[in-house]
Amino acid sequence: MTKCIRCNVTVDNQHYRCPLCSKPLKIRGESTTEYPSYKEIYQETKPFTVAKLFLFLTISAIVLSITINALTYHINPRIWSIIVSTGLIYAWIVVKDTILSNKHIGRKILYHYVMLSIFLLVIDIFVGFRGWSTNYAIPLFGVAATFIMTVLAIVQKSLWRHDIGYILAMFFINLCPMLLFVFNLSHVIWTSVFSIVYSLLTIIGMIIFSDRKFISEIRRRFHY
Amino acid sequence: MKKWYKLDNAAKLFPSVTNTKNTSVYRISAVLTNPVDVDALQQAADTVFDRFPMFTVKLRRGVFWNYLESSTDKIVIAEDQQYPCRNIDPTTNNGYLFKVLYYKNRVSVEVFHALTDGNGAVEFLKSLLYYYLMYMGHEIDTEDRILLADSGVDIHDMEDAFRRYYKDCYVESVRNSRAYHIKGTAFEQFGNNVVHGVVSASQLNALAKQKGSTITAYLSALLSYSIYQTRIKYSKSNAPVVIAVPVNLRKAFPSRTLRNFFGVVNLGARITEDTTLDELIFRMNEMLKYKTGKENLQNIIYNNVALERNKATLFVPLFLKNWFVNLGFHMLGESKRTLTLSNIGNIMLPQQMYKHVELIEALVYPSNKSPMNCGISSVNDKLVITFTRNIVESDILQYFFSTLAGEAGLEVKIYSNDWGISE
Repeated sequence: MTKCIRCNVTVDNQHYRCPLCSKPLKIRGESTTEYPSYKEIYQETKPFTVAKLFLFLTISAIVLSITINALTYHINPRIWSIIVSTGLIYAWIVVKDTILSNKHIGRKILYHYVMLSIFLLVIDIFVGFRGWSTNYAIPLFGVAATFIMTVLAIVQKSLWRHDIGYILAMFFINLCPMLLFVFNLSHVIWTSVFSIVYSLLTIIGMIIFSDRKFISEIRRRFHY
Repeated sequence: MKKWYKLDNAAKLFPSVTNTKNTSVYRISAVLTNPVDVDALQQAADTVFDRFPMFTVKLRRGVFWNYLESSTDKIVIAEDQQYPCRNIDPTTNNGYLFKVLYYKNRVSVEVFHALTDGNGAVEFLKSLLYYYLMYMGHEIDTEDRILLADSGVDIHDMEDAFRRYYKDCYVESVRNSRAYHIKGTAFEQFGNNVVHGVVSASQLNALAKQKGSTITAYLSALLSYSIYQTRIKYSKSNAPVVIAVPVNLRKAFPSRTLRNFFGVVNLGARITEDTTLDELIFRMNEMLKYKTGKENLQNIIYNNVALERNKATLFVPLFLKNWFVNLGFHMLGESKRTLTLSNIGNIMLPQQMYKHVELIEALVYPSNKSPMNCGISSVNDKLVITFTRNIVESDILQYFFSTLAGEAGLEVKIYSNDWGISE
């Protein structure tokens, strides 16, 4: 026990300095109230990681493509850098969210579906909007994502525990192509109808092949 | 089939507002007279497992609400290596939202606030210590102060007391101004520094009584005064200092729940050059007395629960709820308080346990807008005032503890975890 004269308090033996004013103290010894030393944690943060490297490379490539696009715009009057940038962001998602992360596979599929849809929509828009992305690609990707999710859930026999949330999410997402149709962004009706019918059948299948667990799981998710 | 629980009213807030800098993780520690025996502690953790089913749960996301799902995995105790009140990684510790940690003489329980409040955590720690001491070969008469593992789970432990005591009532709401916020330099490496000050509980109580006040009001006033003297006095700000004090609602509304059941009352004051400490103590005490009156607490319950019961909120998807709750928390909660002072009170233990427990510490996690928070707890006539902060500056606590030692004449013993302080 040492007295810190400046702060007028007694300082426990475990300290070299007064925790309040940092005044050096003479005695140091064992104490029951000692905390672990945090020295190792201080060294823990690495300035260089694979994720940081990829982030830097992605940003550099985006900046470079926008710069080149701007400088050569008078030769080739197209905004192609937007397509390149979206592609690079998608590549970044692939590395960071799919390869480097250990998130739930359902979430990864969901992210891929959303990012891929945006990517294709951007390409479609910037090469003169012909509507192939909204007509075919987005609804059919939705069906594909739901299909992969269902297969994974059946293979891993985890249908009612972990994947149900994502399958339900895909169900709602598959209703969206209908909105594209309503807002005149899509002119082919069979793909939208197909995605709705497919996800409806998935849900019906889940209910028919389910046991009590399914009902209980639904009850938790919706809290009724 | 796995059991599941709805989050209680208070708990609904925490998953939405939590991030690495606002962790919603608090810590209650006991410093024992002897070094901790790891095997006995693990054995004690295994024993209390069944008695606290509302703790052994994992957080799951639903469509409209989060929920808690029970689990049968073991509680794995671990050596304390990280700074206190760090966010709990759900991929560790079998996905549980609390940790049991040990280091030298200290046993700590860190809890994600969605599980329970200080009261629930203290009950858990008490049971854990009781079994730990028993496995260490000590005979202890529980005196009915410990929840025993073989006593069976009481249905009342799990009630959402907010719902039970919700009453439709008329509530007057006042628009409060933004509170003064402490600013400071972040530590070179993000983490929490803890400074504990130990004083005699009876002497402090006598001192507070002498000023016609309670310990909580006295310390709130002294803390506000310290903030004024070290910060506001020399700045242009005239924002009020607001101390947020969590109140255990079980005292006014009898409930044995081990889940969250607390409300927060704000003790605010605009301090000027002419304000004396005695005057501040008087004002804070009056305010605390009024605001912890039953009617006011009933209003708090009403305000908290009304929104949740609103039929419209029922159908807002979870991700939107998270967004709104977060916004509301910052606009209505965080920006209107300077810091939180949580007094978990005098911990009552069986007589034979006192000689094994030296101190109980309560650590309140800091956040971005309140980078320094205060926790108070006492056992064995030793009252520990703990400041947990994520900024370098220690001017406020220096003023606070020096005043407590100097003008108030108490003996103050200081120790710290020295986070961010290079030697």
